Amino acid sequence: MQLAYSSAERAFLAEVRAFLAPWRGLGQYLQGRDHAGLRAFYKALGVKNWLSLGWPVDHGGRGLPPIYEFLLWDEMAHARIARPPLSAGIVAKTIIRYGTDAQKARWLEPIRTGELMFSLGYSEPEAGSDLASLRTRAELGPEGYRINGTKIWSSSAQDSDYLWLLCRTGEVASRAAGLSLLIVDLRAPGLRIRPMAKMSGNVFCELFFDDVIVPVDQRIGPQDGAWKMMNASLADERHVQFPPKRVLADYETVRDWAMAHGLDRDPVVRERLAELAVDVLECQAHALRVLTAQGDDVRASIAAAANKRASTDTIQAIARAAMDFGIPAALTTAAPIEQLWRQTLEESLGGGTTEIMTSIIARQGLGLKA
Amino acid sequence: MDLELTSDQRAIHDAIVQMVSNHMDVPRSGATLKPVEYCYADQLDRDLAEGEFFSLALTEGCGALEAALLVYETGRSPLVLETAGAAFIGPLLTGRDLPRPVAVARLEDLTRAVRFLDRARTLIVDLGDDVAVLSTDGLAVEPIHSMFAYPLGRLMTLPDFTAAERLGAAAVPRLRRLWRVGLALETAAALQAAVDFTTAYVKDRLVFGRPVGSYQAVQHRLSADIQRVRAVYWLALKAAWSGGDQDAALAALYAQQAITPINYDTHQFNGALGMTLEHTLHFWTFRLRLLQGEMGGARTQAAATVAATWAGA
Amino acid sequence: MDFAWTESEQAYRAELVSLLEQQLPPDWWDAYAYDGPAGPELMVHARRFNAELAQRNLVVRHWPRAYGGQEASAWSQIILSEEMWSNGEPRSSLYLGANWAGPAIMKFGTEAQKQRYLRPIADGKLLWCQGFSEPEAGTDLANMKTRAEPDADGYVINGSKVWTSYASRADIMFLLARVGGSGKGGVSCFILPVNSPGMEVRPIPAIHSPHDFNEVFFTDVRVPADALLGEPGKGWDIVTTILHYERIGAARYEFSRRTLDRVVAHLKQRGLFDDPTVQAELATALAATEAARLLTYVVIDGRAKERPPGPDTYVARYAMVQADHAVANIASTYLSDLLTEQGDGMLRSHFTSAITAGIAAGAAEVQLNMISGRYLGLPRGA
Repeated sequence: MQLAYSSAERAFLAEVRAFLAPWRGLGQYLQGRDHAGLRAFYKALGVKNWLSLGWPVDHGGRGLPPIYEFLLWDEMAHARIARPPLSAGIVAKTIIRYGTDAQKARWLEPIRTGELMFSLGYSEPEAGSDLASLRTRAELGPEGYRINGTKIWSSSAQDSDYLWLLCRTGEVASRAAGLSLLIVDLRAPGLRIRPMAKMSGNVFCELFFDDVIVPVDQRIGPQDGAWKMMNASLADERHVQFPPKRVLADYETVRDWAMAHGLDRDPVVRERLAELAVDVLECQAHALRVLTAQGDDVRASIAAAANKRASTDTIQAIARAAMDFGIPAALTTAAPIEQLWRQTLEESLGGGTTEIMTSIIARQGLGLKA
Repeated sequence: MDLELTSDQRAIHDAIVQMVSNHMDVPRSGATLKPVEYCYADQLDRDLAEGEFFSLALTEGCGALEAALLVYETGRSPLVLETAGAAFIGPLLTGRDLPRPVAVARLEDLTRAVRFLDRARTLIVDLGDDVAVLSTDGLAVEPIHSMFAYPLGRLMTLPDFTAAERLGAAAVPRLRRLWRVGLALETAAALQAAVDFTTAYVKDRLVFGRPVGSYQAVQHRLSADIQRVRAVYWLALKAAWSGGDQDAALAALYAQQAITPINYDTHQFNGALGMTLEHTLHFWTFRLRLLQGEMGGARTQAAATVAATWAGA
Repeated sequence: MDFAWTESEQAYRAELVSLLEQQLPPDWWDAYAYDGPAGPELMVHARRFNAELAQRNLVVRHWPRAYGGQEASAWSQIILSEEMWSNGEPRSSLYLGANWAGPAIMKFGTEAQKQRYLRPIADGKLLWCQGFSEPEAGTDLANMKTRAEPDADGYVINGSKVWTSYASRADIMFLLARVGGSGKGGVSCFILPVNSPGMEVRPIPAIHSPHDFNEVFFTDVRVPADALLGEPGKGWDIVTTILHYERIGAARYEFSRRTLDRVVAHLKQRGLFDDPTVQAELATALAATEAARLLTYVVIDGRAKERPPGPDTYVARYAMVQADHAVANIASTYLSDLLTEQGDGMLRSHFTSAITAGIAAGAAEVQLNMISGRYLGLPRGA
């Protein structure tokens, strides 16, 4: 057993840090509002071939093990620069695994270079945690798929190019067995995008489909076969889902803020900060367990659930702690603490709620029956 | 001991509840994406003033308990209204009605952020060794914008307290007692409203083919939450009734400690919808978040509790 | 609304306090009460103590006059419980008879049963135990299997009970056994002497006490027909009534409250009291005991006004468990050496009692189930 990065990994980390230095001000990790800046950044990553670190070599990738993607995005999270783009992760990896040769030729290259931005179209007003109950329909006709329905919580749909849409091609009663994945042009006729505000200050979109036509060759994988592909793509992305340095960055924000206000001399504050520092280390351990479990689906799934749960609990505790120190200055809009708190509120919901993660741990990890 | 309202108290309570229920609608931020920070219940304020409800504490045959009912019942609305200072703390501290809204603050918080200060007409300040009561006319108040669903303000410069009305050193513990009770009442109200709202939501909302509220994991957390909420309510009323140091500190302490688990649970159970500004939940949970830090937060109430309970050798 | 005690309630409490001062020996906690109300020394002492109580008409003050009571309010009953429970319950299991077995007999018993049991309870002569839980039926009481088969003279009982506190030294048992039927139907209530032929009591040493738990085996135990309370197979109504009173029977919060004072005294002596972290924990625990107290008073208020029992009982009971744990956690964190045999009997007794607080008298999770169904009105699960 060796708990250390290899020399190649350390060299890569150094290269990442050097590359990121000029981008540190981008600040799009917590609130992805500067889409022009984000696109420029993703293109720069494309030039480095860093959007395709884990893709197979024969698909234009670098063919590196998951730890390289982890190191890259963990560092990014620490510097609050950006999150991994949906396009180079779930979308590209699903196309590589299930797409036709024509689809690979059409989509992979512009994704690899950072040209194309995707938004996620999974959740619906009546289907959040329970995706198998979703209702947005795609009817196959002579001109392609005709889409009707509503999607919600798509965070950057107004600034993206395409939607990665999960929709119903079978009967509602078929649940997970009647779902398909389509790539939808976000400027297609009949598609209306309505932005809404969240408590976090972020904007998300509701998407209304009114007879939106999607060509058949924009369906990835078999009709009604989306469920298995979705699960595979979730597995592909576990190691970058919740990077531990995101947690560390939150901790450092609160610690620095407490020091700036002279609170670090207070024994109660010191004790709380020390407790939180231990929690941060625990999150790091969880993240490394996810990495080492790659390839063993059950173990990886449990480790990822534990990591998500522990990380979201910890960042919420970190933000709360600062407010509990009782300095009203933590609370006003401009204060970093208040922003942090609002941001962390939604992290225990998105990407699988804490309750879903807990159920995974109970069933798969502890063997408890449903 | 009799833990039911007397018939007079019941009549006052019902009248307040009726008025508050006429003012529950909040404007939504909607498609403008411009967040509604808070909605001040101006009309309710006028209705209550017309019925002289702000003077309950000083009304013959009434007192702290009746004023406490006003603070609690108005606090359950998603609209915000300053009643703790104007109807409870102010009159019981000074023996007279004060121009409202009334902001209450510790000296060290005046230049940081004070609830209601940007609208307040009276400011009560805990100077540490004295209490000052002053009109906000002529004070340099800067409004502070936040998501905390309260009007907030801060002083650009500290006023000359020597010219202000001073209540003397003996008023300091009295102010803190009343302030803690007011804080506990406001917290009890918002906690109850958030849990009620969430309970209604989880009865209707389906997930995996069942109401969210039919999962035992959800039921147990909400049940533990309602236990906390009822405890805050009764501790606050008892403290309003007794006016004791220990009761006031305990009520404020329990109240501020109940906020974290209840804010967490209510947001988890409202799911992503509760994160939107179109949902009403945040008007209570954000207010609670601010109340959690008032008067120095739970640790200050804990120290006060210990001092009031085990001060002797 | 009024949170004050009346003068007569204050006088009653003062009477109890002075009686306890007279009757409890100076080494009460360390030599008698350290092991809880089922401890052997305490149970022996209880027979003397209960006679003193009875002489002063203090056993069943809340009962109707016809049965030896003074129709004292529910408030006086909770005062009694507070003073007794916080002193380690020197009555031992006498309180089971005064709190719920006696009232159940009044409500469901025949005239002969009332004559037979109520006076001895009022005279402080009966130590009770309750034969409810079984190896396969704890929280899920309706799943019990112990059978009472009718025969010519009465019933023949076979089966076993478990976790039966007091059984090895009690006089009499309130037993649930099944006369036919399944689930709640068929459950019947019996009252029988603990030394009935065919009954065998085996102690089960447990983490909280070597003396509290017992297993009780019934092998062809014959009881007369009048051992049955109420109708055969219709005992569930009685059980529901009993459980309701049992949940709040013991004023646990008062014991936690007074234990906290003792904890503070030790912490001061050891120079640990001024630590702000310790103070925060003390204050939080105190808030928990006082919250449990007020939530209990809400239940008592309803009882005093003879309102039907509502879901507030479960809220109060859950709050009591939280309070017990909050206080016990401080004791074990900062004063663990005092929880040993050389330590402080009061802290030991409280700590061991807190261990079982979330399990006895309806698991805390059952209280939460009841709150969610009856208080919040949440839909039943799958």
